[in-house]
Amino acid sequence: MLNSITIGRYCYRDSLIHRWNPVCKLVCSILYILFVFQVNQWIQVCLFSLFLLMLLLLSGFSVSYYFRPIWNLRYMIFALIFFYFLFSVPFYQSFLLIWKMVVVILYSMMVLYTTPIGDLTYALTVLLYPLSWFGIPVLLMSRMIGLSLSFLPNIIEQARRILKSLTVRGMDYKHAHFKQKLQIWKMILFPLMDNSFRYADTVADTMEVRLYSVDQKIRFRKMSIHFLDMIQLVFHIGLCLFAWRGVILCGI
Amino acid sequence: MEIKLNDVSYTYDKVNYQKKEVLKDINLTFMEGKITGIVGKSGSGKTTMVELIDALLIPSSGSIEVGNFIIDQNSKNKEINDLRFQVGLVFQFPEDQIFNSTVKEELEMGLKFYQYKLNQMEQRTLDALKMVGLDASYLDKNPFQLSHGEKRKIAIASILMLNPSVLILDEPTIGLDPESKRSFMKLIRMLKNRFHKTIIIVSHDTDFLLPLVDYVVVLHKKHVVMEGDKYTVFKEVKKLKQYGVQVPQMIAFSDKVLRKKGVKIGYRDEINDLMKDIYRYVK
Repeated sequence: MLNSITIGRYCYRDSLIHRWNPVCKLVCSILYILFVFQVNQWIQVCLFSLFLLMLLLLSGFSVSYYFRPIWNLRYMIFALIFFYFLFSVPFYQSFLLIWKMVVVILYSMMVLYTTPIGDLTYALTVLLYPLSWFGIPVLLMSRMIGLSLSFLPNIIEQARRILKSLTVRGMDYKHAHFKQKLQIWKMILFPLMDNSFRYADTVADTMEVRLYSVDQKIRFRKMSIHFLDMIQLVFHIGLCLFAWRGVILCGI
Repeated sequence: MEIKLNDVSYTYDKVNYQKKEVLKDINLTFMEGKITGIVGKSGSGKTTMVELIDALLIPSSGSIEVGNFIIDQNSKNKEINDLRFQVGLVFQFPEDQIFNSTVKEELEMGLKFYQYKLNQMEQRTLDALKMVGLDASYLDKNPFQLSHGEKRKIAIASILMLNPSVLILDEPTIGLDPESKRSFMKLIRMLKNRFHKTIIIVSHDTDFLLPLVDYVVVLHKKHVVMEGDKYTVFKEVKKLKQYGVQVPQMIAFSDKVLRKKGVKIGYRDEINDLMKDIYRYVK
């Protein structure tokens, strides 16, 4: 069950998307998400989905690798459909809304799978930099987001270990019925919180020992935007614009 | 309870993108009532092997016979749950195996989950505590506030509550001081001699294993590269070094004396016996 939770897991591949500058990647992901939430027609959503499919294939992972975590969200999706039904939203519209949500999740997953946490933090710092003119602690904010993202896989790993310990004592989550599953979740949370706090403490101490400070702007590698990054950026924005307005202008 | 691995292979994340074969065509027998040590470099597949024996993982190919149970691709859920009452696995980190606020609740948890009768449970709780060398005063203590060694004992006791015939210990000595190690050795010996449990110990610490185990299995790059009686395996110093396994100090010492002085003092489990031998020779 926990194997399919892959949030915050960077996996190295030699792909075009991996090599893409993180700042460009983040800008494009923000634009893509904004565009997707703007569109309301099926044809537009289909175009955005096709565009995403192309990106997913270019990222070097199989499409099933992306869809496996989405399968775990099926209960949430059914619940959403049910709520839309309760509030008498037409089925066509509710399906469109849910599909748009799935597309956004897939895009975010692609960004997380293909960008190391350090690069992502750097990209956030660059993008949020204008806020620092108004006295907002941008560096602190981006570091916090970066740390939280790198903390997630650890929590999942710990939850997996705890689940295994419960399984060897006869409490097998996979084969338990609903009431037992709830009981098992209750038992996971207690040690998981205890372990997470302890781990957070250790991380804080380790950072302090290594003289890590928020005020210091340390980067070992200078990141630069290459010509190829710019082409990718322009191509991405162009495709987004086409999917957003092009179909209407072409009269489709 | 005898355990047999027949042509067992295991690949991690079969459906995932990152496939990794950890064990390949393993044929092995863990004898009933004996203590077997599994040694090998990190990543050689030791933990995977014990997780396969406890059906936490299902072999990608081949089968595992644990007494009357057979673990393979066709294993049924009900059988797997019954198997877990027969095979107890204690993990490396005791912190991850504690879930309740008192030792009593902790020990009773597994059986309560299956609505075990209370009168039997109280007796079992006391027995399990006794088996690991703790007394009834621990029942109301908070397990999170106990020492590392005590936590490990509680983790073992909670597995012993299920009364398994096979006990598997994954890296039991990590984080233990020498005194706790000694008491731990006593406990394992008692479980074997008095309760006739089949015990499997996964460890890097060959000095800890030498006086305890009867049989040793060496894993290296997915395969079982050496197996046999502890002295037969441990005396192969060159091979062990090649496989990245630490040679027990007492074996290394005897070997060195034989090589440098030509004196055969033999292999001993305990330092006292070795010293007696040396004294006898010097005299």
